[in-house]
Amino acid sequence: MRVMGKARKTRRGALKSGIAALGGLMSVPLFTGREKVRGEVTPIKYQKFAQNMPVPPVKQPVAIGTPPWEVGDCFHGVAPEYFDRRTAEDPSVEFPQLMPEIYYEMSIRASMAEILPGIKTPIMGYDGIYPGPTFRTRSCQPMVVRQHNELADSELSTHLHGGHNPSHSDGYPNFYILPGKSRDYFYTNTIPRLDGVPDISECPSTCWYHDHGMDITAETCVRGLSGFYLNYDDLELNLIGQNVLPGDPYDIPIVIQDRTFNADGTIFFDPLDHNGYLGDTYVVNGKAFPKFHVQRRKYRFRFLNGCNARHFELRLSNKQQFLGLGTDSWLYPQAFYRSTLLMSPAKRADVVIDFTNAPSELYLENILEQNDGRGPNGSLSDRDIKIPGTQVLKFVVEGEKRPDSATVEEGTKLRPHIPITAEEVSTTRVFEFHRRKGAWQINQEFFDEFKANACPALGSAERWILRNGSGGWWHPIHMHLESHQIQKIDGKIPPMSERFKVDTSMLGPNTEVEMFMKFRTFKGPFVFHCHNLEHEDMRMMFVFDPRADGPLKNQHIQQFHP
Amino acid sequence: MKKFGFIAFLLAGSASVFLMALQGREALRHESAQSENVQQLQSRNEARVAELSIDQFVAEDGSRSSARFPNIQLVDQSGRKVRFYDDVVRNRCVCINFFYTQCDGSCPGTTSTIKKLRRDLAAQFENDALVFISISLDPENDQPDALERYRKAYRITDENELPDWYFATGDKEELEQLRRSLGLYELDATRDADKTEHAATLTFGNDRLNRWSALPVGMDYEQLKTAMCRMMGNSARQRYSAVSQLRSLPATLPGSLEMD
Repeated sequence: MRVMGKARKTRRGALKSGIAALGGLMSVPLFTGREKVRGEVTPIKYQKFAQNMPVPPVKQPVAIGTPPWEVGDCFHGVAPEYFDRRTAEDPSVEFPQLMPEIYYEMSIRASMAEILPGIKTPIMGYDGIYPGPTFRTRSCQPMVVRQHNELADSELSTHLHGGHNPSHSDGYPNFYILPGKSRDYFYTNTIPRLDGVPDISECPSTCWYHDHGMDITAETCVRGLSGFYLNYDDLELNLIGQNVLPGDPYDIPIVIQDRTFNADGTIFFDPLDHNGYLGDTYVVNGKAFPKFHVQRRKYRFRFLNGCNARHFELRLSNKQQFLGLGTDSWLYPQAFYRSTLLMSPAKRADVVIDFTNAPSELYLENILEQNDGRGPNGSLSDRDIKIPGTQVLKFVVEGEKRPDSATVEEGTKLRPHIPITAEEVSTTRVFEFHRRKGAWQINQEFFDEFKANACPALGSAERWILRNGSGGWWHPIHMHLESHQIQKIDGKIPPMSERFKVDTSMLGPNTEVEMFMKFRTFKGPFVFHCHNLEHEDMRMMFVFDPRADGPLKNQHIQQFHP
Repeated sequence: MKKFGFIAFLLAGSASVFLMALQGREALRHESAQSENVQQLQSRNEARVAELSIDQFVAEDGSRSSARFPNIQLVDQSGRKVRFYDDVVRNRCVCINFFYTQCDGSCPGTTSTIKKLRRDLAAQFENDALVFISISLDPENDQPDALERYRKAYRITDENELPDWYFATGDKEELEQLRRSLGLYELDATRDADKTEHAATLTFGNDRLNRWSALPVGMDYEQLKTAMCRMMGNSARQRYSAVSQLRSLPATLPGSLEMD
């Protein structure tokens, strides 16, 4: 691919930085998946925790209102919902916003990034940067993002993970932006309705966007196609305005990813490894093993596990607890302490860290043991932990205690939670995930791009039971369109952090997850799939297609916009 | 006066009809100009994609996945000796599967599917760039004569300039090494050793562009074919002609059509 093999010239730079390196060198690799062949251990030596962790820039809009699209260039037009601004669930309801949409443009292109100190690495980037720019959006403020695919060999499809958006703009794997073409993504930022009024318990906070193109997602994501999408509503802005939650610049998204590098600085990736990509280098907001300078105050961090297959259990080296604010896109009803953060790929942990009395240096560590793409060693309830873990990010705490620190503490009320009750549930569906003859199946069926495997009625709630039958494999199952509420994991009440709203369920080996989910506003198709991206690329994916009548049998998908 | 008024009315009427006709012609002409314009724009974009594709051939050998394939010596159904990388894979579009002649599980279906794919894809690809290879998991029993009998049983021939399809065997150890380098193994050792549970997948890719993918043979045939064109194709035409066909279908499919 184009982005590979262009950084040969910087090898000398790598050697130089290797000689210059003093302590904290890269030592034992974490990766033992496939037989070690050339390229699977990062051979570059450098000093860890010397680079500063950057905060991705905020994406700026271009205009109010969408300019006309050039026929042939941006021939996809925009979602049907753009013209008919009514919800599919209740056609008498117009999207709550009467204001014109904010218009953004974003190019997806090959570019260079300095991930390892002094070394240029070819990447694929939204706007040519890695990670991509951060969108900061308001609930009910519609927007259109025109995305230009300037990557020659990649059929892209951008998914806004954790959002509630039309099927056309949701990153269905074959709703492509082909090379050289553009596509308008219509993000309504709608809040699903409950009894006819917007359900503010469903306002998302920490979303992210990434590529979802058929068969190549693992590679495009490893090479850099991901970014944050932080949404705010009045409730959250009030919490920030009253200094309950830390606001800008103390509200910082942090994506943690694992990568392996070749000697020439290119990112190692093997499209023939179907178990799951594991890297030996932690890359945090686009820098390998960085440090971050903080003041003695509370910070809000939105941690994202942006890995293909590596799971994390994060903790702080001084054993200080995180004050949990939310899991995935949604805030909890109230803040509570979490000593570690267990995160599968694609999961977010919205937390506050109070550095007021912290030592001058501390580390964020991953204490979970994982040796191959299958998942962490052990089971979901009995995981192999290694203490001290691998240091991922260093915090350098500076200055005097700040008196204006945010006031959030244990028990602070955040976003109300409205549970889906068993009485609301109309249908129960069971999905079993299997590995058979080197391929993935759900309910013994292969993924079919044009077949809806579940057609829930719009506006209804259902009970879904996810069962993992394949020995030793972990599958983080991600549902598009809506949040879901986990009722039971292996018959037991889930841990506090997974008890409210999530969009990705960690399905450990031989685990069964029972959940409730609603299907609102938009008709399908949408996918749900394993977020181990190698598994997703081998089509460990199913389609649900909310529609007015909700037939029980499999159907053709209702609409498609390839 | 009245009469004059009537004539004036008639005149005005016919003039307006004439004007309307003129406008109609004008509108038609405008429409056709617009559709020409659309065609031009589309071809310009196709050209742009083609241009981008050519830009891709810069991948250095060192960063290709195929650099990790062992370049082992294989023997095909006619006893011909070929090197896996040098003679089969290098710079080509390749479709690889593992099988054994005595398999009564997934292999018969796989072989039939590949037979169909070979015929259908020949139309999309230039024959010399596309190659199929089926590699034996049971080299002790699968000697060239057994492979030839298997071919005959499936009526696999080389007529009509179909792409090459090797049935290959070789040294057992080396074949194992090859299988692992292609990612076709189970992490669970006992499961991996069970030949009856071998991968029923097709691994296909374009060596020059370093694009590889593996999909189950049992999935929908048309979708498998589309994915192979997209991943292996050298030009926008080879890759996306199936997508263009999809685009010409109505965006809303009949919702009442039940599938099973």
